[in-house]
Amino acid sequence: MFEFVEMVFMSNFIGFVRSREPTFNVSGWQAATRIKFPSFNYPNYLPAHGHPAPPTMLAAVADQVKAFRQLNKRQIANQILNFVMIIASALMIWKALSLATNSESPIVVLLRTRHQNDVTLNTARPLDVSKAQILSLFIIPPLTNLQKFNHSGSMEPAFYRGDLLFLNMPTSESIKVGDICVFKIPGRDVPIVHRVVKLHDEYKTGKQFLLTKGDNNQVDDRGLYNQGQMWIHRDHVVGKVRGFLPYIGMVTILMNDYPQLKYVLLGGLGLFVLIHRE
Amino acid sequence: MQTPFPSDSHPLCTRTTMHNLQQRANAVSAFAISVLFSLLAAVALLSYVMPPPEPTADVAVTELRVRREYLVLTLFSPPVRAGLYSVTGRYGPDYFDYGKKTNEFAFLAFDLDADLTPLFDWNTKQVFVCLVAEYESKTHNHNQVVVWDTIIEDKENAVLEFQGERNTYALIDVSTKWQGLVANFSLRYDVTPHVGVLRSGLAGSSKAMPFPVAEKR
Repeated sequence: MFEFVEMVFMSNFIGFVRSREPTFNVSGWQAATRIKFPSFNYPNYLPAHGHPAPPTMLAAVADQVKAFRQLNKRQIANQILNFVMIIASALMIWKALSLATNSESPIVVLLRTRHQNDVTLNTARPLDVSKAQILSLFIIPPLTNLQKFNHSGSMEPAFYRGDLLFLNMPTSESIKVGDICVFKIPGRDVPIVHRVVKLHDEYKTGKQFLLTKGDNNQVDDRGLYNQGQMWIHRDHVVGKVRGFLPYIGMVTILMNDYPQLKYVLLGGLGLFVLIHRE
Repeated sequence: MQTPFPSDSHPLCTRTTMHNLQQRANAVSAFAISVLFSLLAAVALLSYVMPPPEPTADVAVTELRVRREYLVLTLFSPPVRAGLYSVTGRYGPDYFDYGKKTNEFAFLAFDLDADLTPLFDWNTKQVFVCLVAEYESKTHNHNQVVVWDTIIEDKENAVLEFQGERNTYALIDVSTKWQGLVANFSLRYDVTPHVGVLRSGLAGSSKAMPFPVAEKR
């Protein structure tokens, strides 16, 4: 979420800086797109019959296209570089967060609850920032489709689908009973979010033997582990859940459910960043 | 192209540029989202900086028994073994095998007197409460086993008063033997907030309870 907020601020910042460019050197692109209100741009000019009306939306779009055509190679390269920079900085912040929290994916979205042998499985998915999915929060109001996903999950009423969980895994700290952990069972892709209910620290090796269970499940997770597996260990654990933010992950879920939407949004976003110039 | 810009000279003109609809929408949504997330961050920070007072609980284990059980897989002709309880299933949900057919299970009854209402402040979504058996054994220096738990969602149900409550989860060690071990039973809680940082703590614990010798049938 950090990088998301950062992104918002960054876009504000860029907008802020650009909107305060000196307006004396109005040329090319800017001259074409600026809305001309007679009384504003030319206060000494009295409006008269036959003066062009303020531009419509269509005219504004046409202006933008015209403006984009007028861009020279250097300006286009600049726009592309700008776009790449936003993505790269988001990725950098994500990786830094990953290092700081000692967790391979410090923010996960509660993705889907799957029913398997009468056991509800809470699965989490790492937030994929590199695809700039989060920026699309501007485009979709995330709360509109909430009613659509109303499953009973294994960690309810604590966590529901679409909730954002913040993880960390300090090396100095061991896992305790009652901690909610995100863990991966070997050979399986999707991590699970459940609570630790049994713990045995081996004296010789310092190895932790953990047993997990979903709060809303009747039985513990041994039925979900691999055949014959009794315990999970620290190296299976991606991170402990430390912070919680509801609903925000719905965007990621929508992207996951409708992959076409992802491409449309990403394409639109890329185009927007390339063309748009304040 | 140099365009004379008369904003300084004109009294009605206070802004230097005009913005189109798209720019305005963008600015408004960016600002709204910034405000929303600042607010969420403030809520998270406030409830982290000002945690509610820690509750206290009286836990007393009134009864602790150990039974050596022999797992019988056939229902109709259970073989009788001297001194062993023959069972057709494991205790409660703990039906998986610890690698042996004969295991020692501990059974307990406890009295609980806990008032967890102080945990419910303006940012509390739910409280997970559990009774944990904590003990040390020769091979494992730190063991924690949840024997009973509950989820409290509102303040009205936050006072826990129980007499002779039994464990809901199996109390079995990795060695499957309880001989000579001493356990401490403590009430732990884990608070999930509406927004922000999860908080956990220890409300109270019983005195050290030695496990008795396994009962003979």
